[in-house]
Amino acid sequence: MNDRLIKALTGQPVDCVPMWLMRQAGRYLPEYRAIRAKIDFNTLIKTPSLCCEVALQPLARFDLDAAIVFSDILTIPDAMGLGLYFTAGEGPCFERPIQNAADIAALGVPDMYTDLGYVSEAVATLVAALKGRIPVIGFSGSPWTLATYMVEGKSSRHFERIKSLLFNEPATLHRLLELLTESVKQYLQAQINAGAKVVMLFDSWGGVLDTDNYRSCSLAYMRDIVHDLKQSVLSQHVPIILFTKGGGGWLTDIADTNCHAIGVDWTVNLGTARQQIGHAAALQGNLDPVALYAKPATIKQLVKQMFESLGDKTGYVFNLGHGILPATPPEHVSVLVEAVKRYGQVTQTARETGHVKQQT
Amino acid sequence: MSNNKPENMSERTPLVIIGSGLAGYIFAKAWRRADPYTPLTIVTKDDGAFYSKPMLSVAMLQNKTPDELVIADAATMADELSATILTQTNVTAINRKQHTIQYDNGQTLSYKKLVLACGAKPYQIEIAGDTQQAMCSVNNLGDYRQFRIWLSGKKHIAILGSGLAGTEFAHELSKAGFQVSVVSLDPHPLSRFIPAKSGQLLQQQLHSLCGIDWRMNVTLKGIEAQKAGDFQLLLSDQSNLRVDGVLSAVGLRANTRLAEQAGLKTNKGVIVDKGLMSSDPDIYALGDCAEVDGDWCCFIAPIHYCSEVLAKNLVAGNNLERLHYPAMVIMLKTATYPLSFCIPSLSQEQEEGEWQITQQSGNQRAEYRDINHKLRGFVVTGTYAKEHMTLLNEITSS
Repeated sequence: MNDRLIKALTGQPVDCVPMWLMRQAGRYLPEYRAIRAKIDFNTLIKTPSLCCEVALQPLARFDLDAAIVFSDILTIPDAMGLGLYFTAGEGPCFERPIQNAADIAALGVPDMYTDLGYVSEAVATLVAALKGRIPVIGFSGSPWTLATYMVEGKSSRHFERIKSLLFNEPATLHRLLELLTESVKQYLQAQINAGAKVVMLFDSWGGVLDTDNYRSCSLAYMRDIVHDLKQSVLSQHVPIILFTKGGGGWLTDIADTNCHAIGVDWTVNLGTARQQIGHAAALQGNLDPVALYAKPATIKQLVKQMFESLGDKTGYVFNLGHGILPATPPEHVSVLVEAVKRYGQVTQTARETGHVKQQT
Repeated sequence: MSNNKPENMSERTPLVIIGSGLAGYIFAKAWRRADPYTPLTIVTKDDGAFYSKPMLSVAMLQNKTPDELVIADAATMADELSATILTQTNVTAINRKQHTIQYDNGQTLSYKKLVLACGAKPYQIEIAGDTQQAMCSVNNLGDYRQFRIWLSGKKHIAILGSGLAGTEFAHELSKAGFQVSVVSLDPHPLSRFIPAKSGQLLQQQLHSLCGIDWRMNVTLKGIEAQKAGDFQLLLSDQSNLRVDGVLSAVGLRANTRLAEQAGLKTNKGVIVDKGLMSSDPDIYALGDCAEVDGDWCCFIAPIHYCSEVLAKNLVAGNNLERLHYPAMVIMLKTATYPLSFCIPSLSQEQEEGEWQITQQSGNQRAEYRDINHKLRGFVVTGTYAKEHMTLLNEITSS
């Protein structure tokens, strides 16, 4: 297996910085749009064979170091009975959002086999199709991020409903977060059991919180999940990436959870991030997805600058700072991959130095 | 199959193997070494991946995903064996008169000789209640993939059966952090193979080292689903057990349906003689589907000996090579508390022997000696387990 990703996430030396892209399987690919023209998103994510086909599409075009299971972060609330649907303009929505404490009391942890088995099946199908060529990444939304969608009912601008709940009835919100935390633990474990070699928590909306509430409502629960996965024999070897969008100010707090790697968005300077956390965790990110609209020469230049800013390449995974955008020309992704393979090379000496650092 | 040269038909008609488990592939390798020319076709209902079945009960603790247990896929095996491998293909009938097998959509395939290596399937016990929902069993790689997904979110698992598979899975799951209860109608684990004193010690050790809760001498009377993934088991001693799922490991049933329908003699398995020949001189069987000279056992080691004998007979075109098993050691894959045993075999009915047991702080050596004090079988546990080779040598040299 190409194990660059796992090595980088665990701080081991690599010959070249590994890369994958958030939403690498998605609308920017014409072959993905061709499938979506026939099948709605909800059916797609619930059909493991199609999830597998879609997840493989970018790998046929680009030399990437990981595949990610094709799914959505909102599968857990959907399995809890909130009724997930997608609209063209607004993105994901729930038919029955959480309104009050009674709604939360009525919720239970979904059964990972009967209710969410399609996600594990999608992982297992993808793992089998790849025949061990590259690792498969499993993922979940963070408890806080899932809670925002469940309470708001859809994407939100000011998060008024969930923040009202937070400020007026904190105990109620924490009950919801606890339930989601237990669900996410089981959900990630299920994906690991199905063959995922790396897992990632997408905390898309952690960045909308103030520092104290970020720590208590988002980070504390992610910390609990990291701790739990590290306790189990079945998952303790699986690297965990935490990605709080807009979380650049809290990197040392995030590293303190004992996660293996931190995802960073483009507002963070990689060199500064490294200075802050040292090698306590690996870093993953962080090119602005819009930069892929730029001319090829500019893309190359930006990649070069990122590596210069980063310095030591040990414990680093190249990615974008957020999901790849639908209007991205696929040829520009080829340019990006080529540039990362070029500037991300690690010399023999650097590899040995990296190794010494790892041992001390 | 080209049929424009009918006179050469019989030469180009393949040896056909039904099944791509360990029996099918181990035999195919042994035979192909001796006969590089005769065409070979393997028909299998799964994907034809070659994997080590004994690993299924220990893969979890070794951090192996189901796909990492695959040693070679069907294409690689076809290449290595110079064989045609028909995957995802169900054989529906054997036509002995015409020397053909029929599969899925009515297509037929001629065979020169036919080898049945179609395995066994988990024995399905019939229990009142929500059995289907609660129950899972693992007998091949496909089952194992499902099992790994099935385990997710579960904390307390009941295992039915305390044979090799039941005991190994109990150990594996408990070490992986699950709460495990074993429900068995036997008095102690491995009761078919080892004496009570050894079995009781094994039970006691796995309880204290791994926390396994043994419910012995009981049968499962019913299963009631409380809600999804939450079941109440009713046991014959009137006690109850609340678990998240039930793994059935109560034993196997040989797949004999094809053989029976073709009119071959079957009992517990397809009946074959010491040359592995069935009641039809052009059909042979080995592995979990075969009852060899009155003996039906689902172990790995015999497959190697059977494969060698059958390969020789098929190449020589006779049935002269006869099977003779040497003493064989079976190792229970319970790393926390290892146990190895060799089932006593006495050459004549009137011979007798007895168990002599040495025990030192949780470790045991049980030797079965005949009236002439010759070693005939043994059980070694814990720190004694590594002595199995020395003891095996003593048996074979005498």
